[in-house]
Amino acid sequence: MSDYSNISDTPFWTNLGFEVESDDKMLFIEIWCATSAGTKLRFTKNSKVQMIDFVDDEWEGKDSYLYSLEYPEEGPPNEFNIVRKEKLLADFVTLSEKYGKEHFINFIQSLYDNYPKPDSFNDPLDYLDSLNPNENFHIKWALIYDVLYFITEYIRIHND
Amino acid sequence: MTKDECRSIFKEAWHKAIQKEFYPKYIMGAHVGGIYFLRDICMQLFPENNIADQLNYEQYEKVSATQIRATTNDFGKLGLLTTQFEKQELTNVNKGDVVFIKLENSTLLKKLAGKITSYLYMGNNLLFDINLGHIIDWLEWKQNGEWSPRLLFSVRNSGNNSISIDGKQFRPNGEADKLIWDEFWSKV
Repeated sequence: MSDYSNISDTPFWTNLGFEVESDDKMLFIEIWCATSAGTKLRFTKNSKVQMIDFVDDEWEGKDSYLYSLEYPEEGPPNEFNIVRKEKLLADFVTLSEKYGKEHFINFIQSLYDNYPKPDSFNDPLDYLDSLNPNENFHIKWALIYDVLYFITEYIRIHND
Repeated sequence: MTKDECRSIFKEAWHKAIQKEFYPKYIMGAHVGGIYFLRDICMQLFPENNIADQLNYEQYEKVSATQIRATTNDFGKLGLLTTQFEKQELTNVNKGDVVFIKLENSTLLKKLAGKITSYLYMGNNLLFDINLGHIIDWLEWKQNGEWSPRLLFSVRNSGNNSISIDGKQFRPNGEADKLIWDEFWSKV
């Protein structure tokens, strides 16, 4: 993960006194930062991105990694992505406690539901997939996708 | 300028910049959050007689600034000074400067669109990603064997530019503006 996996641990956060801020603008900023911090090192040879084109050709673990993509249940679990997912969801839980769980869920649900998309799409993730039909890895597209994806994951797990 | 005033300016610019990232015009384009972040800080610090928000940054998002031939000319007109790094150390860099880094692992990255990325310098070897979502420590990051990052050059606002539209200027421009600009970043 990043050197500062939480934006609130960075020196400028304290220098400017951001700990007193807790409105919706700040919530939006903190959701973005939580996702970005988890995505920074996403694209490495140890990352599971489900796109074999991006595997390092000279990596000694290439063959077993490709096998794990083809047969995911038999392959080794990808520790990096497991850790990353757990950290991001834990960060969302922390934010829900800071901003209030009901408000947090309403905010992220609204963020998801109102993400701009053509009328022909009901789901923003389907829309983003359609913009990248060849599954090229692109860090900007991936970060937006992750924000929306982890919103659905948080709601699926924590919206009782 | 108080700490609360600086935080308010920073937060407003930060929020707008992330919105530009989250709702992009070109989703497969370059990150432009950093450009909009600096632009908004310019406009908040110097709201009068300032054309910073009239300049068109769309091509930077569509193509990436590092691939546009006109970038050097744009930098010159805006009074942005470019300095090459002679060593892999963040010396002679001020808070608020833009730092360009090249990622050099050709095997891992050959299929990526961009190998040059940029950061905002935040002091003490800390770099704010251009998507404004996380901070990295250069002293640790430069040892990353997979990305193999290398410092290229930094860009600094000199506060001395020649661009104007209908009599309005790009600010900060002049010593008085530069003092305000430097005071803001000294609080960050």
